[in-house]
Amino acid sequence: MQSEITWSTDEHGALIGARVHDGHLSEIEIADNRPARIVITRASGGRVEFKLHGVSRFGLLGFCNGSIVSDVLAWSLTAAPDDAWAMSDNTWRILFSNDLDDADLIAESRKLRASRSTDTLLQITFSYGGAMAFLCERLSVFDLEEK
Amino acid sequence: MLMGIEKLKALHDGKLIALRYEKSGVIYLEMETVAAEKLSVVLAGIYLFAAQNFLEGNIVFEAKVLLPEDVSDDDVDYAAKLEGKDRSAEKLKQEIASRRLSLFLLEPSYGAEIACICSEITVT
Repeated sequence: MQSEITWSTDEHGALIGARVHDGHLSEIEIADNRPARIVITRASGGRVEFKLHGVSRFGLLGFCNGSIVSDVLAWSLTAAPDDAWAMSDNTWRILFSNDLDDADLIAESRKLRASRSTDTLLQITFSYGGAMAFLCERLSVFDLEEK
Repeated sequence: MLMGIEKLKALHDGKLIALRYEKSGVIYLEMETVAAEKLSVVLAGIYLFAAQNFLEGNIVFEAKVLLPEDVSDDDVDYAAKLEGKDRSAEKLKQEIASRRLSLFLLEPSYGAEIACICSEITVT
């Protein structure tokens, strides 16, 4: 059983509705030809699934067993913050490469915005380091109810 | 513990099909060779994991495992840089040596690059 969560974001891009802050990462599945799944177990015990349709790019950096969720951020690609490359766990660096210098990173992120303007950018950061970022066509969030 | 790692040689020009992380802390990579043979790489006892540049269609240049005694400074620097957490490469080298960890590297022709420092690697 699962029920879809109607989510929104605040002015900083923080995803509202999933209530996964301080939860732990339980599962990730990314495969060709099917939606990617991220499952987070809430601190209170319930499980939440993020389903990402049409993932075109993603990066996973430094997460580890039982990673504790700090922030979940989501933006329409065109609304993602312009200065994200200045942050340490920034979305563009996760999506692209640590090899790129700031100027190249800015150029790459702008190219991406122009070519995939309707996509959604999801970033999950962890309390003890590590972060994931996904670019997808559509994001759905579900409460997974135990039978 | 390392099992079946000689099979990784067949992955040149193959594809990374899927990545799965489970709450047990194990990461599974599903791969396919150019001969369409499916290989599963199981990474457990993970100390560092980083994956970047995943795109639609990820082509492997080389997948390899380096034993603790074969891990060079450049390899450790690469893994630390890919992870981007500002870990000391020197400290990583010490951990690799003292805990007998191995380094799994997936180098791409196109798309995904992966570095994983872990204690168990099984390829089936």
